[in-house]
Amino acid sequence: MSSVTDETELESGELPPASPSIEIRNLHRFFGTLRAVDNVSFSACPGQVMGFIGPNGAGKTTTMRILATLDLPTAGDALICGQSVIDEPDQVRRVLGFMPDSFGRYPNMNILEYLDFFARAYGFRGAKRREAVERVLDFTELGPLVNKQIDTLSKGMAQRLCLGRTLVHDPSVLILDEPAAGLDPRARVELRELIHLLATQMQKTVLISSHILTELGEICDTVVIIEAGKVLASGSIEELQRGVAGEESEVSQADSEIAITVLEGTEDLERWLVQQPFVEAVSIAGGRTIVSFSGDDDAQHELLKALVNSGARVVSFEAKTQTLEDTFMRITRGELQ
Amino acid sequence: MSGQAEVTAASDAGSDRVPWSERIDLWADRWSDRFNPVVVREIRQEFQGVRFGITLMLSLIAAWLASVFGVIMLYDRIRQPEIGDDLFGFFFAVLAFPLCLVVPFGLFRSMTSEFVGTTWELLVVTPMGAAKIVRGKVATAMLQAAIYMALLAPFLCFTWLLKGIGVMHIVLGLTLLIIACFSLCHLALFCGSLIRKAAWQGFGLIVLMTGSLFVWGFLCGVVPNAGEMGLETWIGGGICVGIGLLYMIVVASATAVASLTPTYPIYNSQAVLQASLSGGPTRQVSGSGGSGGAAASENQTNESTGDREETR
Repeated sequence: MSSVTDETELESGELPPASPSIEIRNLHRFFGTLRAVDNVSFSACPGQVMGFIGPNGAGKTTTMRILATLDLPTAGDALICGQSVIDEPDQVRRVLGFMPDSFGRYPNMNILEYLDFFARAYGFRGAKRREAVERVLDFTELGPLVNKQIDTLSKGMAQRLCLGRTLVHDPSVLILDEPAAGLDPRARVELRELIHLLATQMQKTVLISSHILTELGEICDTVVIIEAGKVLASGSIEELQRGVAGEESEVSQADSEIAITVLEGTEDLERWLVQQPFVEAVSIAGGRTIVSFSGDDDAQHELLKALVNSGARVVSFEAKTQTLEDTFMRITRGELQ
Repeated sequence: MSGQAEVTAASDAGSDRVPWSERIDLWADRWSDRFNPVVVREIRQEFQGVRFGITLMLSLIAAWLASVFGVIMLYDRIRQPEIGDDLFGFFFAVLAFPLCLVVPFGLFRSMTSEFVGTTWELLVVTPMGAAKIVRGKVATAMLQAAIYMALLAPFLCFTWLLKGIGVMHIVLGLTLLIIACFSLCHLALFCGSLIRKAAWQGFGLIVLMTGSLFVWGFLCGVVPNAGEMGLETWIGGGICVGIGLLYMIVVASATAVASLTPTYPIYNSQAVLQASLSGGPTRQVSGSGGSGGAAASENQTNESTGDREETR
């Protein structure tokens, strides 16, 4: 199982983590011969933002729909706050907020009426209903727009409203399917801040899928990478970047890249570098010397020290960190099914 | 926040100072808690939209025109006792039109827009339940029917004042109209439940409109001449039609509830069957061998979930 809460943590004497809010156990979902979800397992704890990433058709939405009680698994189970999505869907719906990838708009309805309707649908009555709507309007900062018709909202505002609808019953777990799709950069940053607040201040568990991996890299604590219905890797972003993620992945330690800029003698530097330990390859691009380096941080330090001692006039020595996008490209194989 | 919160705050400060309009709003807001949320939402939408208002106004205008032209046409016989009977046919046709066509069409549009606009997913992940959603939609349609009747039924009663038609005849006509409207709403529910793509809306609409026009024509032909039919005809026809309508209402309700229930077994049974045929985990659960090539862990999973699959 590719649980994010690793058993080795318990063995090392640390306190046991909080019980997971999301727990997926050997989930399968078949559509005929197509294995949309194939033995997927992972878990997430309160306050955690988990990125669920994979190429199109990987099984992300199917898994999320099962978690949201919109679909049944062929086999396996998923627990939300300890409740099975199969056996106790009604209980699950009370603690779960689901934001689908498409925002269903009702015609002839303003923001206030929209939120008010969903507050009623979740069983809020009287003052509690008004408080729930007010809380969501405050959080999403949609208060000044309450009388605006929802079919005239911009994409960014519509996504805010959709997130507000998801929060109206104050769920413990949020399932957000492509919430940032189609948003402009400002709206994406604002949405990212809202999600960050939900996890850090409100201790909500957030499972979020997105194709914008740079965004996910900034807000997620952990990531699950899925392809062709199977989990390829899971763990913290640092773990994935170091290539020590879940058992399913056959990920090797990646070479890091170092970009060096010198005032003069770029060709001499190239010849010097290829003789150094852990240097796998050297190339020159845009006036910078790019070193493919397989050593650790100590080896990098030694290289820099030797470089300075060699008399080279170093202007910059920059270790290029691997992004989530790099990790994703390295782990996934581009399989289609 | 909104006007609601302001109203509440003002109410707390002292209800005497709150304007009447806001007090009515507050009272309506409190009362609306007693209703199905779908009814509240759809009534709000209808009042903000143009369809309901326009059809209501057109119906009223048609009834007024029927009054004016009816009186003009029957002016020569204005002092004869049968004039009410003749006018009744006009008014009944005007009232039956929105109840047999406009109201079911509204329900059909409401159902199909949920599926085509994918808003149904937002509804079914709430704890409301599919049956409550369906009840809400039917209740909204019947509430609209009640509004039409409240505005147009007085015209029918006016025919009683003109003599020539009995109260029982009018009551019978209104009762049949309510039954027809309720049944057509369920036909609309049925047609709307089966349509998941915008391209099929036209087909569903044709089926519904054909049924609605037939019922409208049937009622307009039968009800004004109800007195000429024997009691045996009413009892026999009533039993046959009643059984048929009851069956249709049950089937339509069940279909609508099933279509709004994402985990309804029919959704998964096909996938489970196909997974079984392809040698997936479900086949191994049923004990017919593990030829699917699934891993050992999958077998264990299936054993734990297999009972559930079979009982479903």
